[in-house]
Amino acid sequence: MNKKEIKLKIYGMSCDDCALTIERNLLTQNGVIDAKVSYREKEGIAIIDADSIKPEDILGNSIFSINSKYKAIIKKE
Amino acid sequence: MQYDLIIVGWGAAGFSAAIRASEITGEEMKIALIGKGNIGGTCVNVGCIPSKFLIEKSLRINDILYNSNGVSKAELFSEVMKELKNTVYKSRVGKYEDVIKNYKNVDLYYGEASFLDNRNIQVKNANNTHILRGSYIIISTGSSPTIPPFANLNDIKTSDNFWDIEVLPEKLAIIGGGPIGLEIGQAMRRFGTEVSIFEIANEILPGYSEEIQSAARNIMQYDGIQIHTDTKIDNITSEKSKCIFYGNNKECFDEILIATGRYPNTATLNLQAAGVQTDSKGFIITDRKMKTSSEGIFAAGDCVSGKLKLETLSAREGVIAVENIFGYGKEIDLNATPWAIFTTPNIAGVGISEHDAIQKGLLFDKRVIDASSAIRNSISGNKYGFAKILIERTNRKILGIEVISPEAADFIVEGVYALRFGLTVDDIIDSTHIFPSHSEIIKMAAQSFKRDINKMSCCME
Repeated sequence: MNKKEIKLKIYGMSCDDCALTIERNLLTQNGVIDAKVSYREKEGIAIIDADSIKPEDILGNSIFSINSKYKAIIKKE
Repeated sequence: MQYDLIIVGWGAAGFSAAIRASEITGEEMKIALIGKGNIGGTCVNVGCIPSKFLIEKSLRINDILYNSNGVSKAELFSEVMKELKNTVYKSRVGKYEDVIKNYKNVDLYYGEASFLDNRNIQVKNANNTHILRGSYIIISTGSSPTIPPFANLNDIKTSDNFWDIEVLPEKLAIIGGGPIGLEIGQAMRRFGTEVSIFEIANEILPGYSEEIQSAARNIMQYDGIQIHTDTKIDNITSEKSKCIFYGNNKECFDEILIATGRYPNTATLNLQAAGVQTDSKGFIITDRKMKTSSEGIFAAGDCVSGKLKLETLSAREGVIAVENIFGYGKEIDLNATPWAIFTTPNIAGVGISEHDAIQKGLLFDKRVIDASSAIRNSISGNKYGFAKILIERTNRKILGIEVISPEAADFIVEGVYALRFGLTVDDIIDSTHIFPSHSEIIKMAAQSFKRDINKMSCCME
């Protein structure tokens, strides 16, 4: 397994429940090992198996789809 | 200062990118919009808006003169140019300056931008220097008119400053027989100016189809415009009047407009520091998702390599760049992007040209019908024009459409839908058009694939 940490900037959250909802959705995605989302920071971290998914595949999660209220970008350092 | 998105260039592409990113994030995305010169870029300040204003006024010149008590064309022209500046100002304020004020998440920076590396940009103006850091960057710095090395800026006009003319020139030379030259030339001719167009290629509108080139020449000459093709200008001098030299000839004019092409506004960006690759002319190379060679950096608009310079295309590219930052996987569809030249009649097209279809080895069929086939043309007195349709031989899908007709810029969108949604020539035939309309010429060109339209009555479905 090739673990990789992806930092996300997340838009559209209005409460801690939003952060939990996003976290749960990320955790159901194939290749996502762990996920933490902070409403306060408007950010999230996803640990992925880089052998099975690419970082940008995170943005394809239905929680960030065009019709969802939540949007994300991968933060570039 | 840290931003989620930095947009370099505040023209059509930059604005549409800023607005789309704001929309997607409910105005949560922190955006820096950097620019120099008038906000709004080429289109509103020195491109589409002033040129179409001048064209529209020139088309109504006889009505305006009829209703004006003894006003001369020269007096009217000066008045029109004042109005033009006012229209540009109002459009800039109404459509750009006031619009961007609605987006509190967008910070404006006036100044010269240059990359320090692939995330950091320096913005410098007379008073300040800012260092901005962005997770993502979109370059949308546009393009500027090329000026031949022998031309002194004081002797010539370009499409950037032609709008400053206040006195109607008796004689106008236009160097470059492309869309800008033809549009401005025809408008100025209507005001009574003697117009001469000089084109280095063997036909005006180089790169366009032979049918368009031939019809455009006829249209210009019918309007009394002198066309000089295969003509290389060797020098321009300014004494009492402005003179151009070509071959053994010298000819003098009141104004000289250079309209020979455009170069990208990328030279001062220090793109090398960001790892952004350009073509040999400095245009930025992108893929169809508008991604450059440097991760996280996108480009949109006139500064992008290998495409038409269109305001609408720039805006679309700005939107696509932003949507791909959010992982939407959008691609620009250049094939379904329409273009138009606002001559009278309009020249417009969409899709692949016959030349490109041959180059690609496509199996295709084509039909070309004269504008006189559509009865509305004879009613409106239009003498020149045609419609040309290319279809794939195997499945009859539309490959490309070219039209010269009044209102063609408005109805070419029919071809956009045909290409975007893979429609066949039979889909166009099966769609009822308005009779008598100019758009009917597209339907008639489609019908010519299955019958002799000379044996057709009006409204034949």
